[in-house]
Amino acid sequence: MESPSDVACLEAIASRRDREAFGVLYRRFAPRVRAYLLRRNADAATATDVTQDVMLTIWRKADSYDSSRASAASWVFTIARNRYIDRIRRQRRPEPEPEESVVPSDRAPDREVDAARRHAEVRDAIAELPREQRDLIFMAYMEGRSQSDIASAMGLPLGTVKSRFRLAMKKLRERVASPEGEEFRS
Amino acid sequence: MSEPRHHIPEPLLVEYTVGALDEAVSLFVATHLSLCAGCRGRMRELEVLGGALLEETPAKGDLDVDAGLQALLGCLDETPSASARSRPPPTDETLARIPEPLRSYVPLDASGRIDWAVKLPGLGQIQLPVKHKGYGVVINMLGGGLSVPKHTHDGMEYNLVLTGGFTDRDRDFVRGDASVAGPDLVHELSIHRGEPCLLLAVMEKPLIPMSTVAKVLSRILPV
Repeated sequence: MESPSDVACLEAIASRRDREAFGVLYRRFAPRVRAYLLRRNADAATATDVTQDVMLTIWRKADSYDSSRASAASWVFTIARNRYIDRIRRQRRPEPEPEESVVPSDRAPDREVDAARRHAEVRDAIAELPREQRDLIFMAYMEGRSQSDIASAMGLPLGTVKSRFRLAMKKLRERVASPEGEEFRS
Repeated sequence: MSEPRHHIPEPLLVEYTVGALDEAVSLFVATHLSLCAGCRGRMRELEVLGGALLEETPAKGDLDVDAGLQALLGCLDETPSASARSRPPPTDETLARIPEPLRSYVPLDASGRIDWAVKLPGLGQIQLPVKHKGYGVVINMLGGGLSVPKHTHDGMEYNLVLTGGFTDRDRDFVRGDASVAGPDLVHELSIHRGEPCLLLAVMEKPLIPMSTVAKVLSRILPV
């Protein structure tokens, strides 16, 4: 891929309000964010409207993005999710606010690489999942369904959904887990 | 401060991460996360997964990307309206021990203090205004040494210890510890001696308020 990376685009927006970089991100993410909102049962007009809202939030908050903590896609995911809850479910989203603020992560290049690497690994791991497990993970994430909801939608016993889900998460976690850093230890 | 030992079960953490929970249960999860670096790390891993899945989502063809981008480029210079939501530092010492995001939900009286409704000696309670009809959200203040006889709940109940602690049939729960219980689980609590136990309780489908109060009162007897 020759176009600049997501992280480079976000940094260009944060440091010099780069509209071209924003255009790149828009083309990459707006259609996916809208597809996500549609999967979460937004009607077409609302999905378009909230997508614009998500993209505008990306523009405004680009300087709070920390590439050592999260991949660009997962940051966009959290914004889309939060705007969905706010605008479509019309609820507040309580967010954790750690008390003893851990030393803010220095933006060390190796941690940045780490976030990008983990992101790539997860993508591979998703692709390698058996179809039935991948569908399940998609329904949970992209449609925001609970396990019991998925069980009734797929006509499966709840126990089956639970064990498939556990299996899939185990495989994905093995790939996503970061060996170092207290924040990533469970 | 030591890390909590009772955590958010994985399926619930997934539901929080994907935004499938109601505000009341989210408040319980998020407040535990404020006190638990381990669960915050697990959540961050789940968010990585969310990002990867977002990228895998097939784009729907009916969005006019050029028109959408043009429309948005016109509003990039507008300054957003400031969303100030800062409260002064707490003057009530109990409030100061309640972590965010929960603290901002606690209603205060005119002098900035928590207006506890005293249900019985040793039992104070305050209702939190969470906009959702399916749940009751309260903070209970249980006096040290109190015991709560065997009981079950009518629906799911989510508890988080904010101060003090209790023992529920051999298991100890202290600050930051979370418990999720279905209706079939039998509880029998002894509140640890010493400071009162402040306990967030999010209860699914509360009964008619009066009878609930009566039931709670009949269960809780100071020793």
